[in-house]
Amino acid sequence: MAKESRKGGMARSEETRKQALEKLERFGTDILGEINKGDPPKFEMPARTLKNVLFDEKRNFLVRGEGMASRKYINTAHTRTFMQTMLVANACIDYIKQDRTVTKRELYYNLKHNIPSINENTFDDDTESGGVINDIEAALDVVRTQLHLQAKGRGSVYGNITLAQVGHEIDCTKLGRGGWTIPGYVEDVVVKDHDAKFILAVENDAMMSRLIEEKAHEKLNCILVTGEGQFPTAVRRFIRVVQDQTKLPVYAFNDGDPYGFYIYVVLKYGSIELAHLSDRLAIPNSKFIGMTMDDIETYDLHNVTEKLDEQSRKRIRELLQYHWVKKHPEWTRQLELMEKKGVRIEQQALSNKKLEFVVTTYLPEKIENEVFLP
Amino acid sequence: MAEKQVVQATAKAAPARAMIETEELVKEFKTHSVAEFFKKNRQMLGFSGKIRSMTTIVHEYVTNSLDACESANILPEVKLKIEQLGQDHYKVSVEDNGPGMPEEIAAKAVGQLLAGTKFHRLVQSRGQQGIGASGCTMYAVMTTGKPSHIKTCTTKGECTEMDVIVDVKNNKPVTENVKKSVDKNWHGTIVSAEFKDVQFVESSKGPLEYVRRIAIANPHASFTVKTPDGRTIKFSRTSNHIPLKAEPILPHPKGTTTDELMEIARKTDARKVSSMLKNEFSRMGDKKIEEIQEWVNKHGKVKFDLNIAPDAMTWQEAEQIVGAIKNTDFMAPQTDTLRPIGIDRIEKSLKSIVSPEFVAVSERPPKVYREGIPFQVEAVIAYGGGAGRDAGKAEKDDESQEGVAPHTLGEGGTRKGLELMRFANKTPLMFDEGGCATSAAVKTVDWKRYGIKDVDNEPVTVFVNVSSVYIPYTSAGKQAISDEEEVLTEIRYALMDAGRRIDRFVRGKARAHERALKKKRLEAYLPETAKAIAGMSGEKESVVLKKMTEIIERKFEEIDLEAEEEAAEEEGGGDAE
Repeated sequence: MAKESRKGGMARSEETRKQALEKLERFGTDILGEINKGDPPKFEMPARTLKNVLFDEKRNFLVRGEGMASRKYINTAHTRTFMQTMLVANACIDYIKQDRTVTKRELYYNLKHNIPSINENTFDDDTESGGVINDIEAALDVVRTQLHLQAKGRGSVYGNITLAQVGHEIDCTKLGRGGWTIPGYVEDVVVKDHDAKFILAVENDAMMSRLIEEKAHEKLNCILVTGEGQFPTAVRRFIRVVQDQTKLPVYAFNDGDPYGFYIYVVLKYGSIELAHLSDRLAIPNSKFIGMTMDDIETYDLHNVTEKLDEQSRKRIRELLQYHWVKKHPEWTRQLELMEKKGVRIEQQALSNKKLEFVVTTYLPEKIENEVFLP
Repeated sequence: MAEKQVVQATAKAAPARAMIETEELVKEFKTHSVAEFFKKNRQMLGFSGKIRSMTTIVHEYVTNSLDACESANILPEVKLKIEQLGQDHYKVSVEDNGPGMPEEIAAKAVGQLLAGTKFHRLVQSRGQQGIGASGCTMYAVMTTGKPSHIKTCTTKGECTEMDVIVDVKNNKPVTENVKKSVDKNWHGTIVSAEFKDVQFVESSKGPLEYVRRIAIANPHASFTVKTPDGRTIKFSRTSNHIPLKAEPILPHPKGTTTDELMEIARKTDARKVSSMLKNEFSRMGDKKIEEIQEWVNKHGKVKFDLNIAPDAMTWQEAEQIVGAIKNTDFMAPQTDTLRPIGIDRIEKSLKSIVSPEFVAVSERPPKVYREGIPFQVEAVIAYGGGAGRDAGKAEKDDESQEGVAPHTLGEGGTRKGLELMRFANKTPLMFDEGGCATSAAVKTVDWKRYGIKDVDNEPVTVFVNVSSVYIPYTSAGKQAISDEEEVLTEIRYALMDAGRRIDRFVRGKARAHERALKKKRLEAYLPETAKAIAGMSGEKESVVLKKMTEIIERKFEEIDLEAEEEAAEEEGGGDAE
């Protein structure tokens, strides 16, 4: 039964699967081509460094520059990594063909064994395999979920939406006090039905619980998503998949500090490390609902601010260096204000008014009057 | 041997400043007893401790043999045999192919301390303890009550065999069981004696190492050692060049002292102080005598005429002469009487005996210290292979451990350390390493500059020979050279000179090891990589593996070729220097 439904999965998912498989196989034949020419095998990939990140004004997100990095078997600094890359790529072909999705840890155990001639293991820990996965993603322009590699599930969704995955329907209003845990692989998530006006991306999972308990999804008619801190790639991809299918606006609701701000910047424009995946992860039309420095005045939250530590000040100055941050005067103003006041304001500070304040007053007012940061 | 004995004694009368010479000591004790003298000074004479005593005995016998052969222009063949007779009880015998000796001289050679003395001629000689084979006889009698045995045949075939002891009251040989014979087929000398309170060890301070070192420094000699456990070890001759006889030279005036001047005045045949100075010193001509006279007239605390008779010269007057000499310019002393080993010959013998991978030599001209004493330093650095002191077997994992570069391990993966071979006038200095200028110089050289990252833990043998008519020993034990500034500096320069030449070898060796390691890594990951690539591309695993192996082979051939060309270029550059 389960197998049946997996086989009969969505055409979409079948397509990305085929795509990834083709890319992996071409990866193999290209390398074989080098060997047949008599050259030591190598492959190239976009360099994943700050230097090699550009802001694409047209598409409105971060993209990878032209800078390339290479991995050469003949370079002993690369040899081990090269071998590991081949092992992982070859394994992924099998996983896709078998339609099995494995975790990073499983991959590590699956491929780990001893090389007797030098008494070394193919992999010493799963961070080694993690690095190799990043390389393959960059080299082939795929995400790990396409390779049937699963990131650990983290974050959840709740609200007026019905989803389907592997033939199961999930009504996200009927999930008790929690939500549906967003799985590592979301490429095959399909929106069956929804009745919402927007998606609210919430930084803090405690705030998420508050919103669920206050029935924010009913009162504000929305879909709640949390990443439990920094949004993991799968959560970002999930929001994108849902937005692509529903065209709903996305509002970010984060702490009013450099970290909350950075989480939003990554959600909107993509990250430096995964800039090559921005077109699959970034949500350029998302908006920032709060917390802002102005909220402290508007809602009289002076007595519940926290002092800004040195680390945070450093982070502010770092953010102000990124030209995709600098180009928004509204953002610059917030960050400079934060530095000047020397304070930060957490989402949960709103409970200083009343527990339900966030749902009865704060969010409705903001949405009604469209008090957003771009 | 008699001649040698003479030469040996004259060296003792060198213009020492600080140290008390053996000869002086002997004089002091003559009135009492030679035996008493020996007992009181045995430490100084090398008879202290079981191990050191054994090495001293070997040293005295072996150097006597070398000197005897060289004096007759014979390529030395020295055979040393050590037999163990009991706990700390050994018989030592040395045979040479020298010219042999008539009975009377032979008896003195092993039965009279410091036989025959002349004074005041400087000659470069092996740095004997000054007590010679007779000292060994004393020690034998003292510890076992038995005489030395000597068999000697002259080149004319007249052979003498006898037992000899020292008449300690009169410092005269007493012979027993004298046998005369004729042997036209052999000439040479065999000396043997039994000793107690000695011990044979195979350490860096033992007889075997002593012979190994003296063999390196005397490439014209061959040595055979029979050890107490019955092994025979041979160090072959690598040169047929017998060193030229060291010519005695007159001392340079700059090195003299008031006391010495008084001593000369007592013994000289000259009738005037002026002619005494001219006769007894080098670089002292009429013009210099005039200058000294002028200085004495002008600055002297006592004025006097240099034409007074030497035995009329007072201490104060001698002092004025020394003062005048200090303020007069003299030509530097002649250095052509120095007899270094010859750097090419050291290189050859080091290669033969140590069998290192590389050898680099210094090329330094003679220098002068204390303004008046010529000397020359020869330094050779050997690296890899048999070079370096054994520092224990390397742990199995050492190779992979950080800090132990594989190219610094010796054959069979043994850990190696710095081996310092110190020599003075071709004679190994086996003891007192810590106080020696050579050790100090080795410590101050920045070996990292020459590709040797950790000199104490790499396969390095450093050979330093200081040649001089007067070696500035730290003590009468004559096992360490004092840190005279000019000597220390010159040793350093020689080491640095050789260091610059070893640099290229060491770095080349490190590179070769890196290449081998690199290749090993590339090959180790091949099967896994080929299997995966085969899986991805659909090609046969064996085909991918074969092709990748070939690619790596070819790459490394190219690299090796490049390295060879590079080395060849450097070699060419070196020659052009």
